[in-house]
Amino acid sequence: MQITERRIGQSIILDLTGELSYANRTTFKAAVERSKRAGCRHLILNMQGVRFLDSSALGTLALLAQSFPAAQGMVSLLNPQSYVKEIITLANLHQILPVYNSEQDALAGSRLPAAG
Amino acid sequence: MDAQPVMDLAAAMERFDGDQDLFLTLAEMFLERSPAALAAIQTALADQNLPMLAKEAHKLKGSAMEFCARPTVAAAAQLEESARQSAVSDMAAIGERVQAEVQRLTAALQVIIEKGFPS
Amino acid sequence: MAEPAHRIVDDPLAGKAAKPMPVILLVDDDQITRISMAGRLKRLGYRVIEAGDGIAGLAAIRAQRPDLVILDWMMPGLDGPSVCEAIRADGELRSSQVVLMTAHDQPEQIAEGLSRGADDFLSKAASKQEVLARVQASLRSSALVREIERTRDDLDRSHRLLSAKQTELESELQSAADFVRAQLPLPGMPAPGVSMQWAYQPSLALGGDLFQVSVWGSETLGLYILDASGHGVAAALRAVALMTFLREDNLAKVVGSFDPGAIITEANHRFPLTQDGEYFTLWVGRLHLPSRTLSYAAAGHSGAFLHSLQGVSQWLSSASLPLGFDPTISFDSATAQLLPRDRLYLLSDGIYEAPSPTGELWGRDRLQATLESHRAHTLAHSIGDTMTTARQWLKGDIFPDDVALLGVEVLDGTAPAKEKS
Repeated sequence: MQITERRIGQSIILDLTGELSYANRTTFKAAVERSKRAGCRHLILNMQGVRFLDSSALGTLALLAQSFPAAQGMVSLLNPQSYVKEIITLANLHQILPVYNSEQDALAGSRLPAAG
Repeated sequence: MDAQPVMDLAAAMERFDGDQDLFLTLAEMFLERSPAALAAIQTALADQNLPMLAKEAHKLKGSAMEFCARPTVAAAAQLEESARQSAVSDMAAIGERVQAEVQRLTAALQVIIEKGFPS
Repeated sequence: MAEPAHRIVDDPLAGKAAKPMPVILLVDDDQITRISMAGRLKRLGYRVIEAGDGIAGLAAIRAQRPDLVILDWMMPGLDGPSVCEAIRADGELRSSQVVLMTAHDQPEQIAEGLSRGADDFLSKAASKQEVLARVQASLRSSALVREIERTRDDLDRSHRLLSAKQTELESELQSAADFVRAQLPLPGMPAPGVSMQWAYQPSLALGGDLFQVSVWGSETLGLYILDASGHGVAAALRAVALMTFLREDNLAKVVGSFDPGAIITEANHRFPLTQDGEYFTLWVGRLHLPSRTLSYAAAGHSGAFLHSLQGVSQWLSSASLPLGFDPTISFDSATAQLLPRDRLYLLSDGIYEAPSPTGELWGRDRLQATLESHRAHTLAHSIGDTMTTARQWLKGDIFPDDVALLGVEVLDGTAPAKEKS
C-alpha cells in the first residue's frame, strides 16, 4: 500500500493506493497518526486507488472514526470504487464516516460537523 | 662382499624417536622368534610350499624393516617375490642368503642387548 | 611440616576439563610390527588399543569407538581390506576413520584399498614424521566427521522435539475446536413443532462464526448467528465470549427481556471495537411458537433468509452497523410472520462469498435459488445439498472463510413433519 499526503488548508488528504487489509494495517495507522500529529481539522482518506478492503480494514476505519472526537475534527472517505464502495455500503460505514464523491465536496465539508 | 652394514642403527633410533626400551623389547622378540621363522622357511622350501614360503618371507621382511636391517630386508623381499612368481630355480640360493643375513642380524642385536647402545 | 593454607595452582589446564587424547586402534597379527607401531604411537602421545586379528579388531571398534583405526593389510582370516568393508557395511561404524598399512606404496594396493573403504594409507616403513603427519591428518578428519554426526544428531533431536510440540499444539487446537463445536445446538427438534439442521465448517480448526437455537423462557425459541471478525483462535475466543453473553440466563438478568433489538442494543454497549479494530456482526431472532411470529434485529449481519413455502420468501435484513462501530446507537426489532412449513435459514457470509476458481463469488442469488430448489425435500437434504452445491462452485472442499448454515423449519400444526426425500 502506498500512501501520499497532501495538505490543503486545514485539511490533509491521504491518497491511498493498493489494499487496505490486516496485513498493512500498521502502515496505514502510522500514516494516520502522522497526519493527526501534524494537526488537521479534517482528514480525508482518498479511496480512489484502493482496490481491496477486508473486515479488518473496516474495523480500522471504524476505530479511526471513533478516535476523532467531534471537537477536534473529522475523518471522511473520498471516492471509494466499485467493490470497495459496495463493502462500505453493506457495512453501513457511511453512518459513522461521511463519504464524498469529489474532492471539492470533501474539502467543502471541512466545517466542524454540526449535530446530526 | 658384505659391504653394507647389517643394520642402520641411527636410522632405527630415528624411527623409534630414541626410544631405546622399545628397540630392546623388539630385539628380544626377534631373537626369540628367528629360529622358528628360519625353520618355517626351510620347511616351506623343502615342501615347495610357495604360498607358505611367501607368507613367511613377508613376515620376516616386516620384522627386519623395524631394525632398518636393509640386507636382511632385501633378501627376504627377494625370496617373497620368487615365491610369488613361482621362480623355483633360484629359491634355494636366496633361501641360503636369507639364513646368513638373519644370523648376522641376530648377532648384532645380541651385542646391543648385552653391551648396550654405542654412544 | 605444615601444609600451606592454600596452594596456588599455576596450571593452564586447572579448572578446565582436559581434552582426552585421541584413541587409536591398531590391528596387526604380527606381534613385532604391532608392538613397534603401538610403541611409536604411544610415544607421540596417543592412547593405543591393540587387536591381533580382524575379528578382534571389529569387536574393539564396536566396544571402544576409537578416533582412528589402523589396519595391517595382510592378516589371516579377515585381512585389512575385508575389515574395511565390514566397517563400511555397519550402520553404526561406517563413519569411522580407517588407515590401511601397506608394505610398500604399490599403486594397485592403494586403488584396491580405496575401493574397499580405506580413508588413507601408511607404509610400515614410514618415518616418525610421516607417521605423525598421517595420524594427525586422519584425526582431524575423524574429529570433523564426529562434529558433523553430533550436529546431525542435535538436528534430529530438535526436529523430534519440534514435531512433538507441533503434535501437542495441534491436539490442543483440536480440543479447543471440539469445545467450540460442542457449544453448537444438537440437531433435531429444539422445541415441539420445530425441526433444525445445520452444517458448520470453519476455515481453520476454529473460526469466529457461531450460532445457537434454544428455548428462551416458555413458548419462545431464541436464534442467533454471530460472526467475529478475523480468523482462527482469537476470533473463536471472542465468539465464545459473545455467545456467553447471549445465554438465556444472562439475557434475562442483564437485558431484562428477549427482545432482539434490546439484546443487540445492550451487546452494542458491551462489545466495543477492540484496540485492533476487531468486532462482531450479529443477527438475533425470537420466534413465538404458538403464533409463529418472528421478531428479529441485526447488527451488520445480513445472513437470514426466510424461505416461505406458501408465502413470500425474503431476506430478513436491513442496513445496520456492526457491533461496536457506534456505541451510542440503539437497534430496533422488525417482525415477520411464519407460516407452517416455512424455513428460516441463518448463514454466514462464507457460504455466499465462496469464490469459483476464476474468483467469481457464488452470491446470495444463487444461494437463494439453491435453497428454494429444495422446496419439496427435507430440511436435512436441503442443507446438505446446498453445501455440496457451494463446494461444486468452489471446485474444492476448503472454503476460504468460515461457513455456517443453519435451517429451522416450522412444522405443520401439531402433525408430525412429512418427510419427503
